[in-house]
Amino acid sequence: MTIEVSTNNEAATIKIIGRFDFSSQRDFRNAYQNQQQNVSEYIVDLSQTEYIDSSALGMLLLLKEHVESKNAHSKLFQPAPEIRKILTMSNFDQLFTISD
Amino acid sequence: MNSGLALVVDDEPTNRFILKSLLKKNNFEVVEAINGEQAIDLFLEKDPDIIFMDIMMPVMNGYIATEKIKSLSKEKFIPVIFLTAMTSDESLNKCIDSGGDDFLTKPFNKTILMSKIQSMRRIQDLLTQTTRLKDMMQRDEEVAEKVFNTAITTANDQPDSLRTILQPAGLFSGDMILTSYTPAHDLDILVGDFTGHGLSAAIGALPASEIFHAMSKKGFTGPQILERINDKLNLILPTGMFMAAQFVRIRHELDHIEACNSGMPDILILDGDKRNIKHRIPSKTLPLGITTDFTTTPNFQYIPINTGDRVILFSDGAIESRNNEGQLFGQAQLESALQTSSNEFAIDSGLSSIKSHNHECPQDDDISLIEAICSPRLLPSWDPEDTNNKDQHNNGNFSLDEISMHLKYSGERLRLAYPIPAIINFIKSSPGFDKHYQALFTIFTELFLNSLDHGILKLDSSLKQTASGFSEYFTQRDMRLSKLNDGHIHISLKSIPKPYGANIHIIIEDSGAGFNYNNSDMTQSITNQNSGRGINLVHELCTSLLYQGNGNIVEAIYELKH
Repeated sequence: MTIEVSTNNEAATIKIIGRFDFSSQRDFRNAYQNQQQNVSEYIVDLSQTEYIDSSALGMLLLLKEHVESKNAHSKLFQPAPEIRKILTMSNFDQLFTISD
Repeated sequence: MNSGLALVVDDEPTNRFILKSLLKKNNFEVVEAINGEQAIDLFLEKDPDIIFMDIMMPVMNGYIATEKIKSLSKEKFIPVIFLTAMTSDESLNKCIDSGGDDFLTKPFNKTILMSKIQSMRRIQDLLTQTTRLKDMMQRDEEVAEKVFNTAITTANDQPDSLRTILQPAGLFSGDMILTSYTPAHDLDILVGDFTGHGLSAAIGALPASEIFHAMSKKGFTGPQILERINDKLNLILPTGMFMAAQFVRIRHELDHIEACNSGMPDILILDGDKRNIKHRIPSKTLPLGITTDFTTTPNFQYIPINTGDRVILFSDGAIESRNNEGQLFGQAQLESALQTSSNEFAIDSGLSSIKSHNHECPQDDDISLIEAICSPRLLPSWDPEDTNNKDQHNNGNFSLDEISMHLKYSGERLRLAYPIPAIINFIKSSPGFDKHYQALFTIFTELFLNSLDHGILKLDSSLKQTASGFSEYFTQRDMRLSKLNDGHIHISLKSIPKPYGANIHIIIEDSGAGFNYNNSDMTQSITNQNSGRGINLVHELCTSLLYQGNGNIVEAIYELKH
């Protein structure tokens, strides 16, 4: 798994390529914690994410907590159908905006 | 300071001598072998910390000796450094291929030798550390498993026609299966899937299990149980940890089930005869432990069933396994196996199907499958006569005091309060009454719910005759209950001592319009409609059941016999 981080104006995009699971913890946390003050939107790009497990869902919750403490918002971007199914089953679409 | 024991293997005495001197100067103890075979013997006998191995030797060469030694030392890291005059890529590769960790070319440079020894030492330290951590982790997991089994699994009720398949991926399963009978002998089943494995899952499982068993046995409703577990997990689990859950209450009347799915695969109901999937309950709420804003009531479903129908629950490990080619097993395949099964329990076919798909591929996630066949064998047999005979072993006929209890619920409080658990608690903690709590629970629940549903909420029981009407009934009930802010129900319990024990008078009065109970046809049809078996059981348990006022007051008399 690799994580690519890019910023554009006040939006930070964290792109997860490959498997998003228990072993991604440290890298993912570093990706959002090291952002500058003026980021108002965090986008998690799931377009190239092959797999997520419950630990990954947990990490998204941690991101949400972080984002809210900075008075910013977050959204999940282009999850593949398999990933989308998992997000729907966990009803995470009630917690996160999912944009295509 | 002793650097350890070094084993030097070389057929040339001069070579051995040079290396030995160098090593001794650096505080190593040294033993020598003249060929590969001797090296193996000495390795087993002396337990060296590091080995220097020549390659070309009679009897047995260095490559073979190294392979053998490495296979004998799986737990500890014993570095093997080859001593070689050959510098071709091919020969150096062969050193590493046969299990060697490094090589030194002859003639050796003293500085290089010492640096290599030092780097080997660093690796050794790292390995010792990880082994120690692994041991600690293993011990923790063993503790967790023991605690889990005692505190959680042994508290479960074990009905006959309930089959549970629990296959953890590691030592410990992150899936939790709980079962409990309510006082009315409904069967509650909760399947929980925690984030993480091992110890971190056990932390959430302990309070979840305590709450589930306690509340189920006290007669709380499904939504109340789940909401309380949610609150507890929210409190104690750190952000990012949660429990996906499936909850099913199989009613003792075996006419319907109540279910809620929070983040897990569909709960399936299979037809008793045809074994096809006749209903599914998909996930409707967030998993538990994520948000405080958690109400399950609108997401609870009430599904009518027939005797013989099967309720099947499974965690995502059952559908998400992959084989060596990376192919997903999938929900469709599992459902097909379940529906075409000719086993007594369909989930056994499900498990075979998963296993043959996975082949030799190791299991990634915990697999849990539960199946309940909704027949009378699922519920413990409960003969109303039994309760009275239970006291035969009781010592003496102590006289019961006269006691009375009044509860008044009005307006909004009616909406929020559910008095049954409190009443049961009171009864259970009163000596002499405690053994009769099941009978009294049935009487109270039946009469209270009748007053609430028909007197206050004005629901029409005839809705429950059809499958769609069933859901409609409970949807309406939830809606009317949520808007309730007037009306009242008064409950009173009074015990009057008698020679045989006591007469328990239970009076429930509601502010509704009542019904014309003098018309015996009306009473009979109400009896037929209202909860079917429920009110009939109340008739069986009580010596008298009378309606008073305009039908909004009911008095039941129960003979409590020692």
